[in-house]
Amino acid sequence: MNNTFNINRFGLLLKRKWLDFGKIYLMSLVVLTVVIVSFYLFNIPIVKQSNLRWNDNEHAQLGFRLPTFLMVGFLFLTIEASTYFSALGQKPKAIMELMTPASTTEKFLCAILFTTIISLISYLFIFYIIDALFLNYINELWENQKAMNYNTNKLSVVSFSTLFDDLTEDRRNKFLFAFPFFFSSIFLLGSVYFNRFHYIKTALTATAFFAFVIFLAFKAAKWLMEGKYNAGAQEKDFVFVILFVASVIVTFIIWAITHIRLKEKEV
Amino acid sequence: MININNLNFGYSKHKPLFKNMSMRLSNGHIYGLLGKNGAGKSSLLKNLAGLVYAQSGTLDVMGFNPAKRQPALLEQICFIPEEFYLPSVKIDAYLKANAPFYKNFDHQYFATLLKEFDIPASNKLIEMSYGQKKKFIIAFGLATQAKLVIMDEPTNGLDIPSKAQFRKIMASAMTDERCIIISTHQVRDLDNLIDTVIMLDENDVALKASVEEITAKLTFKKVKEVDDSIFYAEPSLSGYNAVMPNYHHEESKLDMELLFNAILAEKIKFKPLFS
Repeated sequence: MNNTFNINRFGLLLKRKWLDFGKIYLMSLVVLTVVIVSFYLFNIPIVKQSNLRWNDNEHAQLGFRLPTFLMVGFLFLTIEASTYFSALGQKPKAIMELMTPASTTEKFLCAILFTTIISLISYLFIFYIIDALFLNYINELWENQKAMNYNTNKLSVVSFSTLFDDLTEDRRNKFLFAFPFFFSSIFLLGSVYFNRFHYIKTALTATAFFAFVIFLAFKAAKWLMEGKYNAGAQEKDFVFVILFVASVIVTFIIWAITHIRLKEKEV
Repeated sequence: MININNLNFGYSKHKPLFKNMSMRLSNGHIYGLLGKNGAGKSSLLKNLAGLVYAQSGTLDVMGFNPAKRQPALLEQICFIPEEFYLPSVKIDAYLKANAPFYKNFDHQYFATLLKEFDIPASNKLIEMSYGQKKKFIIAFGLATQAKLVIMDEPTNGLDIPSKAQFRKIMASAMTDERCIIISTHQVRDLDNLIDTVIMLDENDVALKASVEEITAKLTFKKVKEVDDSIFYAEPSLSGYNAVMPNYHHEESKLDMELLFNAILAEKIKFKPLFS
């Protein structure tokens, strides 16, 4: 018997976790849908509204959408990750979890699949569907309406941008691709590490830690570079590449720590 | 089945619970684990199940180190904790989710146990009483056909008929391949069930002996007066309940409660007999 990974056992673990976690997860998707729909309903652009923002493709932008997408997405992913191993903080539940005949690696991979991959996919899917339906509705509402495009100083037919347009408008956004995995990994570690109040404790610890790291990085950069160098556009891109690589590496490191903490968890 | 060598364990470094504890447990036995509150009964069971880690020493359970929590070992352990959790699902759903992890799970036997314990199979687990839940996890644990059965206070919360059912079921669940360890304060609940007594006291094993060995070396009887030959005595309505060396090979029934108090009070007197 393979004591590290067995696909059948992993399948059983997913099934078991779904029976335990599935109902709550589906409920959280309903709450998510209600929250996103509420944001959209409160922000329907009124016809004849003159202060529209336009993007380079001459599409009117929905200013609330990107902040909503990022903020709700952050909260959804981190809450899902933070609750996943929270049972380990309660003795009776922890015994049941740890005594389940599956390896720590299988339990850990199951956590990654649920909290990162399935959560991210379901979030994107729900947001996309709501956005598509909403766009369909407001594009009909604004059909054949014209408004002044202040970028081109011309009257243009109003057609609203999609979420994809918003996300790809700034090409540097692609460097932030690993951030959902990064945030989710932090809160997953918090759910193993802390026994109670996982979310708030993780948020406080992570904020304090990263504030300290960023402060040190700024001080070090200032000390090294002051008066010697003026960064151009290409160098700024390089900084974004470093940010991307660092977020990927740190995510893997946090996952490795989570795996070790899970292995060492005692009741 | 289980080898414990020089086990050192404690929840803090300054307060050790076990100091160089060594013990060997074999299959084909039902061990009764006794001890005062805080003596470490539950902690010893958790060590065996790999739920806590020893500071030093070795633990070998069926050839595995329980601290590694390998699936091959976990599927051979049935651990019934004192406090347990059951999800809000029906028995069927629980079985579908959990039974496949145990490749020897016996569905027929499980159904028989549920019937014996008088638990309706259509019940939702969350709606059951504490006693019913306990009987359910005992039935599930035994149906896994695990070779090592660890039970922490299994009779707590069971009513009088259920305790009798429990004893009957446990006696029938015993096989030559199985090792059953039961920790309890309710020693009378386990009368006639356990065949070996393990008593923990002062960071170590104070006594580990089979019922046969105990009754061969000691005799438990009622006496009118206490004399020097008596190791320990407790006043009763008609005199004293006493424990004394069994010099004349008398037959007597083990009084576990009396033995427990006697060992705690007069450990030195008993040591030469059970070393």
